[in-house]
Amino acid sequence: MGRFRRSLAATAMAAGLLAGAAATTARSQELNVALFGGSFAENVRTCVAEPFQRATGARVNFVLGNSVQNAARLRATRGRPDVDIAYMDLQVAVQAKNEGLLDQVDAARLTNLPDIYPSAVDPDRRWIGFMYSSTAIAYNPRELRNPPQAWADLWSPSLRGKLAIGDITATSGQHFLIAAARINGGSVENVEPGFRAIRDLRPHVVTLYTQADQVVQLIERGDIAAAVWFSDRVGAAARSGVPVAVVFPREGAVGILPTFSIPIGARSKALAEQYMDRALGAEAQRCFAERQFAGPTNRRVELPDELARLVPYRESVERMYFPPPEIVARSLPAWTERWNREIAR
Amino acid sequence: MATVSLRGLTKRYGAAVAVAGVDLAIAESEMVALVGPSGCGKTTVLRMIAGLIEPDAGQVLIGGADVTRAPAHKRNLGLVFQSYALFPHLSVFENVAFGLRRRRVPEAEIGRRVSQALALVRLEGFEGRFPRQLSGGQQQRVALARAVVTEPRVLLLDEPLSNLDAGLRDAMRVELRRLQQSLGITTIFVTHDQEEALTLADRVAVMRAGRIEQVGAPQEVYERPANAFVAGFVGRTNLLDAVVVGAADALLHLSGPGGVPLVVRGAAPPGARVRLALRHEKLRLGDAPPDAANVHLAEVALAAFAGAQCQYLLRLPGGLELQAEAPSNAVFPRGAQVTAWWTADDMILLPAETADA
Amino acid sequence: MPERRWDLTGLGLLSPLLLLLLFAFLLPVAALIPTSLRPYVAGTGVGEGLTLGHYAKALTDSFYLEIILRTVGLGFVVTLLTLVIGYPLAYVLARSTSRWRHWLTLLVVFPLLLNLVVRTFGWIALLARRGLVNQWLIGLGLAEEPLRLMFNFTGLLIGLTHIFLPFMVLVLVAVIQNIPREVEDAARTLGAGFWAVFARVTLPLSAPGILSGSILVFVLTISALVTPRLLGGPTYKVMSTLIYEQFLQLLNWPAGSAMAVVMTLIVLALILLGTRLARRWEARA
Repeated sequence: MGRFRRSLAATAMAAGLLAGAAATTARSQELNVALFGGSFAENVRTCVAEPFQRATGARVNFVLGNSVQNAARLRATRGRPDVDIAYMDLQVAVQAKNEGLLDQVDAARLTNLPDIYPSAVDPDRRWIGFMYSSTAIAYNPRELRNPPQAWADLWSPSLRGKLAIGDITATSGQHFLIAAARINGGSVENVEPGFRAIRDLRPHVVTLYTQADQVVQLIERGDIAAAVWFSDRVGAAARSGVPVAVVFPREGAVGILPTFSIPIGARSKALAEQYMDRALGAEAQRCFAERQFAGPTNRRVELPDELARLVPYRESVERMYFPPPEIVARSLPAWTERWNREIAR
Repeated sequence: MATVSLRGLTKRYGAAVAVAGVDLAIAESEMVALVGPSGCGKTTVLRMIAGLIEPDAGQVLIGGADVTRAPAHKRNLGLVFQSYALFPHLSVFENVAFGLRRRRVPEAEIGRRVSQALALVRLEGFEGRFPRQLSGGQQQRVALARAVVTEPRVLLLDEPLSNLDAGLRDAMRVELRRLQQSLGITTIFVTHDQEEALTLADRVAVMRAGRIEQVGAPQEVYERPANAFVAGFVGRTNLLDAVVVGAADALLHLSGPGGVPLVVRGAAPPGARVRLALRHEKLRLGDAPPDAANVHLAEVALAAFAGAQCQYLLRLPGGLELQAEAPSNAVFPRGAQVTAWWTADDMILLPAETADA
Repeated sequence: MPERRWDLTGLGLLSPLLLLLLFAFLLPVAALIPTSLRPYVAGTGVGEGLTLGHYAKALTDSFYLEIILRTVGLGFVVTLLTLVIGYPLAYVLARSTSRWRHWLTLLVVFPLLLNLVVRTFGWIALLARRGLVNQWLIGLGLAEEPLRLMFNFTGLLIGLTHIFLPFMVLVLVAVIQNIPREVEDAARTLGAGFWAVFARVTLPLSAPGILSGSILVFVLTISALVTPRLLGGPTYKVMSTLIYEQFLQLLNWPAGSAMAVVMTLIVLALILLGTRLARRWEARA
């Protein structure tokens, strides 16, 4: 026992020393970024992280997680975060801001900030949107010769047993609820008509997905012919050979604004601001548009016509509906509870 | 009670032959010991009688009926294991009642018969105890009661006394014999202890390497061993190789190891090589009577005091060493010169053997 | 009343794995108790003050009650199934001397060597709407429409039983191997046929293993997360996925903590109950 305890203590001490040593040498040279996984992380690496590393000599480490996981990480490490930048969808970023987890970005250090759409920047500068995406309709062109053109078309009997929608825990599920409410006379503040409409749609729905990647398998296996999905995911999947195309529904796709923030207490705030500035620059934004099919939030980015049709860009950004994030964040628990009882069972 | 008859019983494990054609007939109410060194196949024979091991060849007859292929639970035999194999999760009462319950004996009768069986092994009042709360001797007696309560046709005992202390063993030996005789039950038991076999059994079957070497009453086996193995295994024996020199008056004169002259009753042609057995206790020390055919001066090389008896290692001129056992009333110290003697009838002329251990 | 050595044997068997499990299971949950008493305001986070509201909701709301019952029910059925399938398997493994034994052992242990997610995806490939099972069923004319084998009780039952079967088998093999063969032989010579030997001797003597194996599988089943998330999906929630959702999707840590504490208490209560029942069973056997 005694020997065991001694060796344990020695191990712990050694580990502590190593960690301490790593921390001191890396303090100014490392940037830890919490961001979404999959192709998203790969594209961030290509368009932002690698050029940033080349320019500054700093090392960028990725910590993968979805929006809420990243927010949970900030909450759990409040004041002493282990990441310098956290990527979160807007409604989650707003929640994190309300919990006092996010630091203010120094406008003077972000040279590209004036070029960003004002609606993509928090008035307090605690979050900044770096791309636009949308919740839209994805479909398999081999299975549907006449794809749905509007949200309302999803209720057509021809799609019975051929549809996947996101669970309420996925952003696309929340957005579809809002869209369903809006086309049935409701709003983000009155989702009652949305719940009724989705309850009616239930026989159409094969699966409520929780991870965006699940849709790829569902389409490849032929389990579904259409899905409420993210426009940027459609582009990426189509390029890798999945038989899928996107429709921006006539009533208007629901806008998604992924953001990034610097948590309060971040160890390398200045470096983080440098990273953000690069991510917001025209070069990185165009690269990201090409690879991630992300709409740029930088107004000065010029896209070729072909790409402009596939991503939210200029006029189509203005046509999209952006649900007020404060209301979404506040309503989400109630929506989830009701969804669990009425839809997800 | 029933007779048991084994005919050409054989069991192989791969290339190894555990039991090689055992023939044995056991009379009603007889108590027979299977004795032999470990690995001789005696336990395998017992288990084949019980139906726990299926023989490769041969037959087991109980009461004249062939039960060779009958499953163990249909043979109605009582078996006491060396480990006792009591049911650890059942009380003494339930252990003993187990066989009765399997036979659907009415509850009232179960109570009566279990009490009887426990009384028989002198364990009245232990009904509620569990095996782990009993001493080795008590567990042994529960196993015995459990085996006899069903009034089996044959009682089989596997090394029944080997797990007991020396003192307890002697007491149980007496008890076992008393029980067997009062029940009059045909009993076969297995032991590696020749003394146990001789004292308990009506007849002894000495086994070696899967075969029975000799069957007979204890005295017969002791006095007239069929071969060197039996002579060496049963009782304490000096084995001597000798060459026949001459014969006269039904006595053989031989030349033993180191040229020691020996005289034994028997017949063999001159020049024949023979083997002789001389029991330790037949070799006596002190003044020889006139009829002692073998008288030798010897030196006490080792002396060991063992209570009523003293054990000696004697060295004869010419280097022959003999072991002897004598009453302790006269003790000879190491190094003493003594006269060692025995008669021509004390020594046994063993039949010639081809392959011998 | 006699003293109970067999209970101690049971505890001895439980000790290494289960005590570690309980330790790793109880301490973190105890640490959640303070959080579980805090209010939660959507959009702004964990509030100040103390409330029992999360407990009240978890224990009175019909939706949560249904999930609690479903989880416990799943635990029972998976435990029973692993026991029913695992016992004969363990018996053969413990008692067989044939050369098949090694292959069987390998077959039983092999799933443990595979990553849990890989195994679960294997089941998805089999059980999906257009998965292999449905293809065979339709191909053989046994079903006209694809059966719903996933995102429901059936799917979770199949997946979890497969995943936890090795645990049950390994615990049972150890116990059955420890039953002296001679005790069973003794029962045979006393007139007990195969089934009587099994029912009166082997089974009661393996009770400690049945108990520890059952507790192990039960606890593992109701606390399993990955498999229920993948095979149950959002439409078939169990307590662990509900807790995960509260923590990592709604950020409602207080509610998640309260549910975790409730789940732990249920587990402890059932373990105690199980031990009591097993004791009675032994006393009667």
